[in-house]
Amino acid sequence: MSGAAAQVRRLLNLVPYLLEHEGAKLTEVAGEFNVSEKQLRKDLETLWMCGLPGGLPDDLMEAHIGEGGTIHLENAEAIVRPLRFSVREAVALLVALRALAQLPGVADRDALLRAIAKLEEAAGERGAEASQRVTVAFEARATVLDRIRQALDSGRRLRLEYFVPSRDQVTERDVDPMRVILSDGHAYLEGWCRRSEAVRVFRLSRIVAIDVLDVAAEIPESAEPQDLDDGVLRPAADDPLVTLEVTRHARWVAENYPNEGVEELPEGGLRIALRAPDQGRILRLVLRLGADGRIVDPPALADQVRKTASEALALYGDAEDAA
Amino acid sequence: MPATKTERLVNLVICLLASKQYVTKERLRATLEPYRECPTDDAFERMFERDKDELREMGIPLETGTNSALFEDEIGYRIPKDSYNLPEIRLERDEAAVLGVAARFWQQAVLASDASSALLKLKSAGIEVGDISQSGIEPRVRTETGAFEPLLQAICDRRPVSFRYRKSGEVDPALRKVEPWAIDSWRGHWYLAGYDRDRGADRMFRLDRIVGEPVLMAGHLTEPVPADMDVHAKVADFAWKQNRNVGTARLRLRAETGFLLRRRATECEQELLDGEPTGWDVLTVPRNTGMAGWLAEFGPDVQVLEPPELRAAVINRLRAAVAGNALAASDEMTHPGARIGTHSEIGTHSKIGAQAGADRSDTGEMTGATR
Repeated sequence: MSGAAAQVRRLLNLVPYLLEHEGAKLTEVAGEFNVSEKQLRKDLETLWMCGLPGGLPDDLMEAHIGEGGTIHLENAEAIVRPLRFSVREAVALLVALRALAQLPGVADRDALLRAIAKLEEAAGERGAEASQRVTVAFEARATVLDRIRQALDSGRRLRLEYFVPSRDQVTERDVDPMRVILSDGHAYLEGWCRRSEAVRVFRLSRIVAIDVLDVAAEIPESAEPQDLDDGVLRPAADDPLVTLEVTRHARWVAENYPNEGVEELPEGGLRIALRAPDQGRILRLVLRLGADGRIVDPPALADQVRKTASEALALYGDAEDAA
Repeated sequence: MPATKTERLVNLVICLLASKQYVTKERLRATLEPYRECPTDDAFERMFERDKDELREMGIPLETGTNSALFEDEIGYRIPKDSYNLPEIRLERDEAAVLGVAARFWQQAVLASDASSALLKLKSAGIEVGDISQSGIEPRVRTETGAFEPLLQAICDRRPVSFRYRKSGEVDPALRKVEPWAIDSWRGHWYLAGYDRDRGADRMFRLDRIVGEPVLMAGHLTEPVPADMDVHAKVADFAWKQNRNVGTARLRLRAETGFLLRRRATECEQELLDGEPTGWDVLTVPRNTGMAGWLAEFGPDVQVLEPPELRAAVINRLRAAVAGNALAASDEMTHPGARIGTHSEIGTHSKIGAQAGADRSDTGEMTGATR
């Protein structure tokens, strides 16, 4: 879209917005429209040149900036309503709301469903239809979400039995809940973990048991919610780097593990660099891969895979049934 | 000058919105100053054509028609208010309060700005959009794969697409021509369901296996889009197709390990030797086709008893893991003791397994699920 087209769109929406919000402040409006105050002033100046054709003084709009940066728009009756939703706007809005509405206990589900029905109608046939063709699912069990919701609403502590796959262990933890994060198709609980005395993120599908305790949550002021821009549970920059090579049958590894880089190998194989906070996870992955993957680096981890696999093989004695 | 172009386009919209009748090109040229100032008819024509295209690209419903049957050649333009205006929406307070979350839902810039502009339109229509961030829900959806944008566009515009696709386990991507029906995010991955023109049937695709960007093709969809398609069911079916259930498996599992296996087990009994626990349990679990890899993950905590082909498949994987992750040749040369050390370590583990195995066959003293 050209710069002019973006400005036209903005102005066509700015006019009804200002009519609806008489006396709105420059800073607020600039924030809403995601432009600088300088740009907003330019937009308002442009409006002085817009209006009904005819050349009479009352035909053109008048955008005054009053004391304290308040905006007052006059003679703007030519554009009273915003332009209807584009198909993409309908998709972006409705898909998001439906994805949330499918989760039990999230937000006000009943209100969400009613709002969705009304917006579908306003979106028009094409927008509503296209929005049906994009779906986002999060995995979360109702009982677990319900309890977290309860604890969040009443400010109480949760007791979790939490499964840690890389260690194949179920651990018990007391967690003061901060928020529920929906990301990458999963739901997570973020909270202050009493045991590790730090902010921790727990995947809801790995919560084996959950209870709301009769204890008030105590979240220290130092507890910072995680920045989600790079995803949840992402490896840290200083986690050790592991290099794997996989055959074409195990290209899914690159699809499923956040990685630092992928290099194509002959025959459709890949060399994948991963940051692994927990090498147990990589160990398990390579055992699973069998002939379709191996550790290139670090040698110590390759050695550990070999040892673990040898130990497992020993269970079978001289494995008469090898194929 | 973008400013003058902006003014010209806004004024064109206002002019066409204000008129109930179709406005002819001649009339527009006479009325709007920038058109009036065009030095030639050609220059005006070119400018006006471009302006019309731009308005339509913005989604503005610019209609063409004539005012009178008698003067059919007098083509004019208008923007009907009821096509242009966002329809009247009445939202209850609690309904409006939950909408704001949509703005933070899309992590990728393009859809995020579509969601924001939709919300801004609602605000311009007088709706007090709230934000439920206070309620402790933080949704984030990523659409980072390069295929998402073109496919979304194709779905919005109902256009066929072509793309190069690398099927799981194949070396070279192949060209596919697809009429896209739906895209679905499941467990953090995006899938496309659609009609594959060359195969003459519906197919599923994973967006991250599309190589390069899909290209929108000319023409329209030829196959009817299924009305009530359960995309989730299709996606789940596609994602799990290697995981059909094929009977049961019996395993020995070291005590206190294999939590996920235990959760799935239909039977689980402690293994006893002369009435004493051996430190192992014997489980019956539903078996699916992709199970050998999963069982290999448990390393020395799992021993497959039955069926033999599963046992062999796990052994093969473990052998491959030993071979593939062997010490580099130079390490073996310089540390000849490494292998011996490993063997003695294995000995302590394997002793338990070997004994139990021998006892099971020789003495018949085993109890519980193993009998």
